[in-house]
Amino acid sequence: MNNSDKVYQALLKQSLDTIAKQIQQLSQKKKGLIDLASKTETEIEGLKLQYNEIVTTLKSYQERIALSERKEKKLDKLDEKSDKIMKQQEEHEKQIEKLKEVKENLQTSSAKRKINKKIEKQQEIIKNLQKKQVRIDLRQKAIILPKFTKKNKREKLIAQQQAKVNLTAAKAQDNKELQKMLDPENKMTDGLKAIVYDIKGAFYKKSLEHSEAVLETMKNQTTNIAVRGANAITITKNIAQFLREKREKSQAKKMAQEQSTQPKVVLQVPAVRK
Amino acid sequence: MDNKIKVVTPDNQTLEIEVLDIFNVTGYEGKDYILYSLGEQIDNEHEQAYISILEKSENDYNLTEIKDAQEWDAVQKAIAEDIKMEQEASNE
Repeated sequence: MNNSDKVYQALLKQSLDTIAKQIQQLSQKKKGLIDLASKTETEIEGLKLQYNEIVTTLKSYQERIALSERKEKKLDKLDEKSDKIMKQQEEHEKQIEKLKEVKENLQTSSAKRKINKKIEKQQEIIKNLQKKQVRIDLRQKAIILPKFTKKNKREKLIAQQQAKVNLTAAKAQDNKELQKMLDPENKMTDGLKAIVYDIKGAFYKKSLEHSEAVLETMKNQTTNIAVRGANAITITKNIAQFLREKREKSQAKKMAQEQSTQPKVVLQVPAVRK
Repeated sequence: MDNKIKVVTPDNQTLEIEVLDIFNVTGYEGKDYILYSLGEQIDNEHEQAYISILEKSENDYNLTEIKDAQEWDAVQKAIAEDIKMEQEASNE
């Protein structure tokens, strides 16, 4: 390698270094720009959000303003109506006063009656106007105090619903009672039961009496009682015990009855003198 | 108080029986049936009993076997119903 080559090589290396440096600087610049762009984008997003919020708030303000204006208009209209009603009321009251004055100057009762009717008519009109006024007051209240009105209305509806529930429950109870009263099975059962018990009781008594009588005859039998045949049967001890007790009770009852029918002998002991 | 009576068997043995019930059966009116025990235990819960037709002649009684199957069936049903009814009546 000669000198010129070396110089040329050094030059090339120098220019290579410069280019590398420039590339590095440019890369850094590019990175800076990318960061800036990203930051700017974030800022733009933030601003967009703020913008949307402001737009929403503004819309809400506009709506509130519009609502308020509508309310005011409604209230104005209601005020107008109210004023009109009050004026009408005053006019009708004046008319009543006039009619009363006219009535005082009248002599015949028929004419007075006519005036009375007119007064009554005017009073009726005033009553209707007062009712209208009440309705207007309620509407004004509903506009000014919507929450209060809603709450009141809801409470009223709940109370109505509760009343309906109570009424239905009472009706259901009444129906139950009525059903009980009309239920033929219920009504008849007691009567029938009593009859069945009476029949059963009478039958039971009769069969027991017959059984006792037969047994008594058999006991008093002087001749032999012959067993020519029998059918075996298994019975529980409870049933056997029950039958024994039944017979014992029946016999005890019979004995008690016999004793009570026998004349009592009272020994008269003469008083002993000491 | 005694529900016991003496009876004579066909081989001329005298037995003492305990009369548990004397009853009638629907469909066989006019007949008396006798339920009695000879005191024979089967197990702790059951005991042996016998049912005979109680025939009354002019001067004496005879206890005879129920030979007709239909009648025996009716008698068993009747005694079961009778006991049930008596238990109900005594409970009321």
